[in-house]
Amino acid sequence: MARVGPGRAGASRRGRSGQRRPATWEISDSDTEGPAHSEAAARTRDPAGERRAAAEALRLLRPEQVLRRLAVRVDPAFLEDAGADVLMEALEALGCECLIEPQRPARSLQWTRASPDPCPRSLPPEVWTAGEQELLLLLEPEEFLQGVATLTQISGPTRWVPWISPEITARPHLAVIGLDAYLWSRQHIPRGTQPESPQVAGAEVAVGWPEVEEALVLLQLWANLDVLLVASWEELSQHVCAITKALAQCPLKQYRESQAFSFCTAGRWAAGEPVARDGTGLRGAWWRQIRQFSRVSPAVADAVVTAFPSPRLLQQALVACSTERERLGLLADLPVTASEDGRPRRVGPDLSRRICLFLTTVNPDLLLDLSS
Amino acid sequence: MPVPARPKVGGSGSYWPARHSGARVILLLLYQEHLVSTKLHWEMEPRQWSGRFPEMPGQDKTGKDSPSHLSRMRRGPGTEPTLSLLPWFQNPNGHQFLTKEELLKRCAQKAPRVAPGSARPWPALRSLLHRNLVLRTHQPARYSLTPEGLELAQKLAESEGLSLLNVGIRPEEPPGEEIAVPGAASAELASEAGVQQPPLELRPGEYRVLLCVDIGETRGAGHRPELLRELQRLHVTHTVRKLHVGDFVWVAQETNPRDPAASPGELVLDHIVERKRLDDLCSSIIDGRFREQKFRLKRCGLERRVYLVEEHGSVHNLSLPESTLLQAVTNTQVIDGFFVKRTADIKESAAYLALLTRGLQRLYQGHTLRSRPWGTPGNPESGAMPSPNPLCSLLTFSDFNAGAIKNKAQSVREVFARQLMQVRGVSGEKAAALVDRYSTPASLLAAYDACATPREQETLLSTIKCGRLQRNLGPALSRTLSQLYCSYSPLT
Repeated sequence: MARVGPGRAGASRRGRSGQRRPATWEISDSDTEGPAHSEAAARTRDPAGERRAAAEALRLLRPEQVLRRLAVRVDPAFLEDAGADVLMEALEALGCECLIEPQRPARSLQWTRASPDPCPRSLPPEVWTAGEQELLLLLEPEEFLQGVATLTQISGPTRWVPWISPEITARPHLAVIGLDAYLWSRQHIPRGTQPESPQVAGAEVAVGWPEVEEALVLLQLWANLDVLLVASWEELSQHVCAITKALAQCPLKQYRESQAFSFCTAGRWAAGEPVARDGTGLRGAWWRQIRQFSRVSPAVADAVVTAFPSPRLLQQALVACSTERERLGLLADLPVTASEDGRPRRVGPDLSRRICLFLTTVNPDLLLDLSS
Repeated sequence: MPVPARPKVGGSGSYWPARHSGARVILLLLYQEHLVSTKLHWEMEPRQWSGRFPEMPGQDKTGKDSPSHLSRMRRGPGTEPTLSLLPWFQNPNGHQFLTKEELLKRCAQKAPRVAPGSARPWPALRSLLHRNLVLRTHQPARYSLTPEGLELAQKLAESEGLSLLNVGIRPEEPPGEEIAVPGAASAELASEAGVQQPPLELRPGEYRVLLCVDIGETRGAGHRPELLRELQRLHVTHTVRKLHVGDFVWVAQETNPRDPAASPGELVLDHIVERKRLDDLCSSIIDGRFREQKFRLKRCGLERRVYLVEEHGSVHNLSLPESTLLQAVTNTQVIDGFFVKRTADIKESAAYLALLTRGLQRLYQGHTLRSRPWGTPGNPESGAMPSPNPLCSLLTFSDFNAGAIKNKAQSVREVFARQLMQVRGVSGEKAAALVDRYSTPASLLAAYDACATPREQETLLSTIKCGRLQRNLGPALSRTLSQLYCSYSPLT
């Protein structure tokens, strides 16, 4: 039974709800495999060697491995605030390389990824692209609001975005800690006593949340620039760690997406209950199989599986039909437990037709929803 | 000039004939007649007039009893792309009316159960006449749609047939506050038929930009009126339609079409928004829809994808821990390249959409827009950083929506692969290998039938080579699958 399913230690946690470690790392051998068509020729020459190379390439795709090649460069100015310790500790705990060196722009964090050395040739090179990836620029609330004031006063066709200069190649994100608190405190200082810095004194627009919201949309439309508004360093560090983990998963997910049936859910969420040696658990699998058709609710799946508790029993009933019409309508009148509104339901002719066509056709490219 | 036979009986605003009812069938038949005779110009192949339904593999040739859909798009090998739309259409020269006989004949083909015998009175038709949705003129009688009837028929067609997919298993509801765009139905019909529409050019001043809200966003879970109310309060020009991908898009709509009878030209802007409440997000991650929806959004033809995550800050009993949700949303941003917007509630979401709409209206001022064919990229260097200039080579709305239907349609192969993955231990690559060998369930079942012994069935699949490393599927999985597919007794 050991061969069924992935043979990794972590896999025993599949299917269990509740406790999970940062679970997005979990992968199994079988999940990282891909089609072997192009390798067929190579394999006949040195099958064992090719397989080893392919296995090694797949191993390097794993997030833990990618993390080792990920470096986070932190500008020293970033660390001026004592709260930054939280962030640095969290990053170090992840296992990526943290370097403190001056960055351009100042007060930013940059992620870069190195390609593996040597670089496996068996996977497409894009998977291993090195270079700068993401950049996070930290702004003080006041600085941010000045930019907002300028942005919301722009009229006409100019679309100038502050803070980000054109030579930046990494994808930029902005972050501001404590903007909400800052704006709130400004509102509650009586007008006359508010200390005004020279720049703010010049601005005629009172910058509040409406202007911020407008500026956020302009930043999105003009530069695809997102702004992380957080209340504390803890929150910022959560986001920074999430970005780091996402970058570590990039190669694997991009590779998977290029594979067959990439849209299908093969992960632990959908794996469901295990099947025992005597076949117990297969009814659940059959039930989940019915749910793979579009627009099938649990209640509808219940109805079908109750009436036909195995695929063969359904096939048998289809074969016993004497007309095409009977066949396609076999499931249509099966009653379905009524939903909240109490109206009696049935499986219906559309789903009945799709399921029956599905089981009887020899054309794998038949589009079920569109066939007449 | 024909005069309505009776004065208006109440409003027809709340009348919504049930699916498969005689009244609905009559309305749709008359609407189809109207479309063919007035709006659409395409070549008609003589063979389409044979009156037979297009043939379908796996069906016997006399199969006619199909669900009542207004249009059909044949796909798959060996099908005629143009005009298999109206298989029961007999009269090549549409006259915009039908005689009772013609109505009966088509009704009998389309929905036999609701057609009375020819000599018998037809209450459904009488009711439509009574409500001033259908007009009767001349002697012998000719039936056609009144303007109100036309409007209702458009809505029916839009809600039912054009998508070719049922809206869901929810009960039918009247459209309510919907603003069905007249003529959108016929444009989409044409798109589905693969008929090339003429290239559209919209110069500055000739179009307006409006928000398009998916009808699913206005129904269900108590949010039905709130979103639209907020949008109205914020003076956002918008329209409600059935979108087959995404929850919100923007259309640039021709304000003064040259031909007033034709539908206004519409291009869809490059932005698309998917809205998710946190509880929706949890359940869609768990059941796999999350990944699939993103996959479809990436292929929809629009490049500026936005994930609108709602209900931050409210107290929840969610089925997933916060850290998991944060990672899922961050992955969507960093890996899938979506722009992520977080809002606290539906009011904030509406405000955000209002700002986006205004921002887009402003961004497009002074720009000329041109239609581009489906399947071509709008921006050739899509990998580069987004330019501040708005994309002006756009898909038509009908192409966009019709393309989304096609992407949503499930093939037998795809469903079979997904089904195989429901068995614990069958990964995507194993399923791919299995489906490569037995591409339909019928094929696999037949192979099992051809086995001489149960032992042979158990081992049928064990040597199928899976994945890059060409590993055997293995005897255990092979056995489990044989238990699933060979058991004539109920599974446990």
